[in-house]
Amino acid sequence: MNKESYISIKYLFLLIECGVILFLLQTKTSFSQVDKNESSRLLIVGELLGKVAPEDISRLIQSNYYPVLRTNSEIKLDRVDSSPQQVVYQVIYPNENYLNRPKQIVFKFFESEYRLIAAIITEEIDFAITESYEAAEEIDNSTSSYTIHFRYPPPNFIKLIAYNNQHHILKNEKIRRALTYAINRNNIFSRLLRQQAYLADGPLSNESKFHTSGLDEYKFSPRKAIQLLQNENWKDTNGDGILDRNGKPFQFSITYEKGVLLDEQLVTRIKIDWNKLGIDVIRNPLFKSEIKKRLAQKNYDTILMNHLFEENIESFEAFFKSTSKENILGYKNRTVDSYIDLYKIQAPSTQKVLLQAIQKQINEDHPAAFLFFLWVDRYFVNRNKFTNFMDQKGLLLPFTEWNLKK
Amino acid sequence: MPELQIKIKHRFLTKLLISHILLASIPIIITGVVLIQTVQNTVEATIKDRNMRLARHLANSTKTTIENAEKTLEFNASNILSTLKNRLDQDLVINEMVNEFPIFRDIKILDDSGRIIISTTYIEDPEQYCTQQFIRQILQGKDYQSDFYLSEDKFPVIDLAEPIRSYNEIEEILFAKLNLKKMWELVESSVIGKYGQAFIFDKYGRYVAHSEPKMVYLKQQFLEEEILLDIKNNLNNQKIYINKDGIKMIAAYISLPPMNWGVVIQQPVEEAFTVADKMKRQIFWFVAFSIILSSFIAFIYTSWIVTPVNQLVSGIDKFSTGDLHYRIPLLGNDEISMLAERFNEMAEKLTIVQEKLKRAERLETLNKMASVLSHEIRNPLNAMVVNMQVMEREFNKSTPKISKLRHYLGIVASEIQRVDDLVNNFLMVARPTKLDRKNVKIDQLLDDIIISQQAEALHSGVRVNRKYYITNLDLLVDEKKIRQVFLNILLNAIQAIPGGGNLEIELDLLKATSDEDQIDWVLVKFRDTGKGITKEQLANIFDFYYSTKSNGTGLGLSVARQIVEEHGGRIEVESELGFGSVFSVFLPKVKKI
Repeated sequence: MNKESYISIKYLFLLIECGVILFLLQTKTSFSQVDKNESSRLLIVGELLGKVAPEDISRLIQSNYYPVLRTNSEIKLDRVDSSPQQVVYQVIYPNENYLNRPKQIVFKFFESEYRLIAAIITEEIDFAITESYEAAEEIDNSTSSYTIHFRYPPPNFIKLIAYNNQHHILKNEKIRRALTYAINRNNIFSRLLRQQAYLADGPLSNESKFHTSGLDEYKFSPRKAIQLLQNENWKDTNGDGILDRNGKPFQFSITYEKGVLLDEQLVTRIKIDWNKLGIDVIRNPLFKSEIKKRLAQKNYDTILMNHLFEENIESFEAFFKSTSKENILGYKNRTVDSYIDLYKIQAPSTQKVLLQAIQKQINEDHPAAFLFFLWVDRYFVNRNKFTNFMDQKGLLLPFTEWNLKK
Repeated sequence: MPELQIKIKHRFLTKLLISHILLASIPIIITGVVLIQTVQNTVEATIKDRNMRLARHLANSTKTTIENAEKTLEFNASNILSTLKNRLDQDLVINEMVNEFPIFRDIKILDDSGRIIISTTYIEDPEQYCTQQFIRQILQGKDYQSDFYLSEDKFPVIDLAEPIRSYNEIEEILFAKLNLKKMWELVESSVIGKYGQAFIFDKYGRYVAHSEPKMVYLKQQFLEEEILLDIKNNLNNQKIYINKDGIKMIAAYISLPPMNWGVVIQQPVEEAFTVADKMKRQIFWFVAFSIILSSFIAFIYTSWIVTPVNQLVSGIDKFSTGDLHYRIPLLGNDEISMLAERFNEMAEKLTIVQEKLKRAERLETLNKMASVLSHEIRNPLNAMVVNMQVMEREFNKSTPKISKLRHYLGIVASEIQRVDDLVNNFLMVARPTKLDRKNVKIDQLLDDIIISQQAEALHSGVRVNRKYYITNLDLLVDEKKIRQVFLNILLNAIQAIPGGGNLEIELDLLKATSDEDQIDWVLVKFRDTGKGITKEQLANIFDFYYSTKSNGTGLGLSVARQIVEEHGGRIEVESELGFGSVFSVFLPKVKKI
């Protein structure tokens, strides 16, 4: 091989080498673009650990608490990650015609609502639900990137304080009634809820056809509360400011959803009201997973919680019947149990009377303080990132139908 | 027209118009510039003043909010909590404080080792403050205020602590976390315009509150060094600077000395000066409109001034081109009108003088003609006398020869005819008849003449070429007289080419310019290749009885010129000896009747 041929071959190889490098660079760029596109096809839902347990996400999707899929949709979900920080679903579309739809739905959990608000304002998340007026107000004032969508909870979705009816102090219905009399609900209603709720006198709202009139509304009355407590011999005998009886202080804890703004504020106000009577109340904020466990074991004193009462006997049976596993209150009343049993064999006209009689009995026994029916929840949708999240009637469309902005 | 020959820039109207526009515009422009400058200065001063007042208000509100929180804390620590030995009462007091004063996010009571005794929130770690520096500070009887920080749940807070004394002994510590989000509302309400910003930053430039809250959440910092330095030196000022996004901002800033915080109210200059810009634009358009309006008025006014002058110039121009009967219309009674009036008077006098001159000239011509005529008549008369005497002698013969008599009689008759012609020509000049105008197709007229003289031309070896640039054109003339003009010139030309040659007859229309006073001219050119005319001959060629031919009457061309002038036209002659001559007949194209 002469020198010229050698040089020619050398240059030829060099040229091929350059071509290969350019090809690889090009390929890498396209891959990275695909990756980027894939990663940007996320829909991140912000949720509070205090409000929702990560293990409940699938159930909440199925019950349509989160609008993810339409019923009988061809689109499928595949859970690809689950941890206390996040739950991730891969969305499987039937074909390739959904390139501008979310590929993954990530449920990201936050420990406090303040952190969630910050995440919304800094656009870390695309969707969130809050029941706090204050949170909604702050988000609305701080960013224009989100659309606020109002959701009206089902009727009889109530916020209540469940008293553990097996607690050594709270098993006395007079004590329970005294505690409820001590809560200044009107103050809460006007100052904290900004009147966006209905005051409750029982498990069913006034709008329900089964609602009973003439129930004791347990209007704020410290005088009645003190009287009831004194009648039960609760007095501050040692001058430490705390009521006591037989040397034992009137002390219990209140459990609530940790990091949930509205609940934290409610607990502060209720605690003040009870403190004023001489009751020592200990805060016990817990995440939802722990609350569920405690409720199942009835391992709590009082708990601030939300509950949905449906207008059927099954809902009452589950919550109030002494033999029900879902009777988290530990409430026992034979009359109520017999009414529930009787209800099932009676004609509809009698059934209504029975359901009203149950409400009256519950009102007297007062196993829980029925505070108010929540009026409205607020959804926040990142409109900077998504389009087509609302139908023409203003109702929220499922996440899998949202379009990513180009 | 002569006025068109003046360049626009030299025209009286232009000069007058420019001077008027300048006189009107310069004060308007000066006023506009002064107004714009005043608006700019006033708006700038107003904006600065407003921003400063807002910044001061925000600074005072911030200061007051924190001071009030400190006072509340101090008051509760010294007057209430120190007297309460009951833990539940203390718990109630701090919870009431959190409930009533949203500025407090959380209040705790710590013991003298820093251990949390009571809290308005859930106590996760009672020992969390035991090792903190502020515990020692409080135990020394000093207040404590932390730097601003963002808590784990991204809550903007500062910590305050006050000692709780019992009989002058510090037993406990009242510790509070201040909710700085409460200041965000103040900041939000201090924003100016759509793109304005209001913010508070700490001594490190970290945003404590910002009208865009994510700036706080994202731990952003204010980086404008000059402002930071001023704040550090407790200086309150205003500044226009370019921010990190390249936007020019106008900022007012106030320092909050105890904390070394800075309060800034700022707005993009472009937005801040929108009002000024709008006003400036309005002033500009007002000035522009005023200039246009004043220019328009100046134009109307100068036109009003210049129109009589133009009429005067136009009148003089018409007069100078021979229209002696034109009079300038009198408009108003100013100096120009007086000048026009004097001019009209002068024109009147000049016309009279002109008429007199014409009459005199005519008389002179007639005298001359009469003298020439008497001389010219004498020759045929002599010839007639001689021939008559010869005829008489022949009659006196016994056998007069009839043929001779006829010959002499013919000569006499011929001479009589000559006299008759002389007299007729004289009469034509001396007693011109009125023009009998009618529409004549000028090309056809020329054709008729050429055909009628074709034989004569051929006989003289002259080839007649026609070059008509227009045809079928009606011209309002006295056909008989114009025919004579063309015939005279044609015959003259044929006779001027004794050895044969070419005669070219051109017919053309010279269009008028756009000026209203202009008229179209019909030009008929007779271009021969004859012997030409000398300069001396050219000078006299149109004189009566001037002829270069032995048998010429000397009236043909003079009569032709007279007829053409009667029609308002003219005849021009150009000639080059040995090469030929060109006779150009210009006839005005008068409108149809």
